[in-house]
Amino acid sequence: MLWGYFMKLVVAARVAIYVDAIYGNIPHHNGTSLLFASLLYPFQMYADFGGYSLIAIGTANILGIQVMQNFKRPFFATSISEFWQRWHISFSSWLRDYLFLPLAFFISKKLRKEIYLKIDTAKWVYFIAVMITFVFAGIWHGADVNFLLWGLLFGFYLTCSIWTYKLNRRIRKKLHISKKSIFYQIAKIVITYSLVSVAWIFLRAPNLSAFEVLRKIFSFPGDLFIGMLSTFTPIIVVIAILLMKDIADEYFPERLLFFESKYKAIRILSYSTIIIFILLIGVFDGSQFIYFQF
Amino acid sequence: MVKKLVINIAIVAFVVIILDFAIGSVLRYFYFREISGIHFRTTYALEKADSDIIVFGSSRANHHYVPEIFENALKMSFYNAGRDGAGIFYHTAVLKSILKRNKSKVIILDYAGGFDKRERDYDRLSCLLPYYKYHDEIRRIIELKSSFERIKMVSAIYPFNSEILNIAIGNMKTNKDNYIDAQGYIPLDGELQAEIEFADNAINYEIDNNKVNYFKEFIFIAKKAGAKVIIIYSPIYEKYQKKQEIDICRSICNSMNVPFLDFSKNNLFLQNRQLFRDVEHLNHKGAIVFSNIVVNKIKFVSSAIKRDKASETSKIVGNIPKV
Repeated sequence: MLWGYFMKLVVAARVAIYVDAIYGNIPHHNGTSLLFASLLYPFQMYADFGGYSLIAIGTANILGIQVMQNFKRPFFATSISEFWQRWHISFSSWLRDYLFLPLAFFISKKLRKEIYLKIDTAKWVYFIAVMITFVFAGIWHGADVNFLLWGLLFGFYLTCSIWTYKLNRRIRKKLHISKKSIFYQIAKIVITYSLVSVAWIFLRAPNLSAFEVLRKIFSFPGDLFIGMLSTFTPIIVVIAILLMKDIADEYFPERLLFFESKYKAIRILSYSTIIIFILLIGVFDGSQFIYFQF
Repeated sequence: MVKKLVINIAIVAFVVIILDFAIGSVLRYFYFREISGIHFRTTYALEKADSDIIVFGSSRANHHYVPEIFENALKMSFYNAGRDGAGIFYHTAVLKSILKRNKSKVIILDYAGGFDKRERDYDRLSCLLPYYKYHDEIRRIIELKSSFERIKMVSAIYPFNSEILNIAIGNMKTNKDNYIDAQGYIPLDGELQAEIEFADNAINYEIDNNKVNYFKEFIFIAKKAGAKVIIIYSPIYEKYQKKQEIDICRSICNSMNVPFLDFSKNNLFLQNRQLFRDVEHLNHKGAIVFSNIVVNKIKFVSSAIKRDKASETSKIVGNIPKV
């Protein structure tokens, strides 16, 4: 629960200062700043929503109610489908169980031939079911064209990953890249994160300015907007802290324990340090945002 | 089980209190030792400024009034207490602290903050939190931010929230060497490139009565301290039909017999883009031109007041020749 407060008050609110400053003034910012803000935005979303979820889970635990994990270090996903197994798990599993699977079953019953337009029926079934599911997911976020495009883009990503699965495998074999190679895994994480960031531009940019953002990112480079160094630096620091915690939980779950350490002193120091961090660099009002604009 | 939980919570609370006190004390020590930057200027304004002329206002005040020009022309000491993003609550707090120990002769308020209701204008009072403990006179103003401020101030770290890096920078000699701070005035360079625009500010905003009352209080306490009070709306590079804040300013100034100098429609500035850094701020060249004009107006207002103390100040302002 305390980590949830840290994510919400420190990471999400602090990253929001930068993202809001850039996205609140798209015409005045260059592609580099827009790219950087777009890469930060998923962290804001994760820390905000993931933080809220942890606070809710912790509160429920205090009351003796066990609630499922909602976010499982989503930025370590190596594919879009894995990303959705780690992001907003309660919602994505509901979509899978009550929309995607019944739809896929229904469509597969309707499409009787094995091949349509030289493509396996199974791929068509997946394409139609995933598109409908993500269009619904988009509209669930809000009745706006932006959300619809966001849903379509994720549907497109997932379809591509399934349709090109064999091609990817062939390329990997030809280049002698091991599936377990660390560089291959890192590359997949980076690509997945980049694709998610692009999709989220449609969630963050107002109206249809997402296209303007994308145009600028690809055609209008320049110096990165830093604003006040004293506001910009903590953003990088808190993201590093969040990532370190997630790396520890993801790759060293039994070794680097802080909140669940068997030593009481470490547990107490961990809780105290987080509270002090919240007091030191948490964002409690809008004053940070105001000064960042000047 | 419950007993164990309570003991653990108590231990964490104890460690947090110790750490909070220790870190908060270190931050306080270094905050008040800063030698440059925005904290240093705020501390100087609240605790040391004792000049004859003091300018209050936001970034527009900070970048528009050149101390040297006022001091040479009026033979009086000058301090620019303008602060980026500050509003009427901040100005009143600083004025109260200054008047507690010093009697200024002329108090200029460059006011363009508006009187509309905005939550963030209260958030901006965070910058006064480090002074809450030892400045009784500004506590009431800081508590406008929220009714929980008094409780939050139990933490020694809270007043310095998010300021750790600014405190470190403010203590560096290199920052002082690179930072031009002429009695509070920070010059701006660069020239505005954009063409003049017509800003439609005719919208009527919801008025924040707190702001109106604090604006009146500012004038009242400055006048009560025996200072000449002048309210100024400094030049802006935009044309407009109607600005609600100017109308309110003018009306309050008239009712309180205080000169209100409105430069927002001054052609000298509207026709000279090269005097601006951006739409709302003059560059150093523009600040020099503007400061000279203000000096002449202060001379005129002073002599007029001396000539006929009984006459209404609003009439005097009306008679000021166009620049």
